Amino acid sequence: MSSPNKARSTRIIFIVIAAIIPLCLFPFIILSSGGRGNSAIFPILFFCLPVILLVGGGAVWFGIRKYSHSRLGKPDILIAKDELQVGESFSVQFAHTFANDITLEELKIQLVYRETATYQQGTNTRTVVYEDVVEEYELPAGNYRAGHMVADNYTMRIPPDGMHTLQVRRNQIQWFVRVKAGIPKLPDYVETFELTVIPELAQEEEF
Amino acid sequence: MATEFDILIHGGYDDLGVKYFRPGETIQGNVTVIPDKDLNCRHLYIRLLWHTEGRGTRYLDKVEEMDVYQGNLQQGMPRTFDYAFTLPRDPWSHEGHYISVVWKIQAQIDLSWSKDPTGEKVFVLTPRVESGSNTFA
Repeated sequence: MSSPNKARSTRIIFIVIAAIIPLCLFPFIILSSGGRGNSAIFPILFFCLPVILLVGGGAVWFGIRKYSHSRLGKPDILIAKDELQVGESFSVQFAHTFANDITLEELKIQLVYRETATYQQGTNTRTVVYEDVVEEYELPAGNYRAGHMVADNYTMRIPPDGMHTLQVRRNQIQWFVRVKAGIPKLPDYVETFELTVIPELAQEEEF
Repeated sequence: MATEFDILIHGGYDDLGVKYFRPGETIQGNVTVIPDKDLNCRHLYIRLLWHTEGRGTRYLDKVEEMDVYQGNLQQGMPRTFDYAFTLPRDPWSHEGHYISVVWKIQAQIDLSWSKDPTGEKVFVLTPRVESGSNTFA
């Protein structure tokens, strides 16, 4: 069974924790100046302010995301196989019990092909991402009561003319099953489950 | 004028001059070199390689290399060298939005204190061509 791809959220938590440390030190820097209008505080403020704004913004964004996730609750996705062949069909079991009363603008389960390319431009490292939603199932939008359960089984297929997973330096080709929910006035809830597509072509009987 | 390379690939499925091979098959052929001047060739390498193309920084993987000749190459005198490589199972050739995968046979003359003359021939590695027949699966 595939497990949720938590690498990204783990990274975000790590960055936030790492950034909170200098933020916590900041009041001590101010207090150590004795609050006497010490002019040495201004250079420190000058360098700390962008960090504080960045961390503050990040924390707010992270908090809103967390809130949006907690409103919906975590859906269960079961994918029948760990490794898939190119052209292979697979079943995706979706089950979700709503944690709160919620209105959804959309609720989609998607099979996504993603290319991530990283390159150097001068001293900057840039990354571009291309996504193609290969298959999409849509559940009804609207109001859901807390405790309401939605469950369904979907059959998806890696396209027979598709590409297998490729992960080399600065170039990645990946496949995902993605759950996307649009919650009014909140960021979209997005949960991705990475698939490993091996360089083998599925037999025609499986098509 | 520059040193000429004529890289021939035998077998495979031919479509508009591009050769298609399946993973695990053997790719073989020969490389003819016509030097534009006398060359003291330290090595003549024939390589099987693939690389990415597109927006990302190029990733290149030299899968196999044959060192087919060391010695002098005379101006205007063609020399032919055979090669054979077993193709790996991946990555398949691919043409994507930002990332493409390109397979090549490369011939390169290693010269001291000079730019190494190089010739290349692209082919396609895909399982979507039927083994032993000239049709796509």
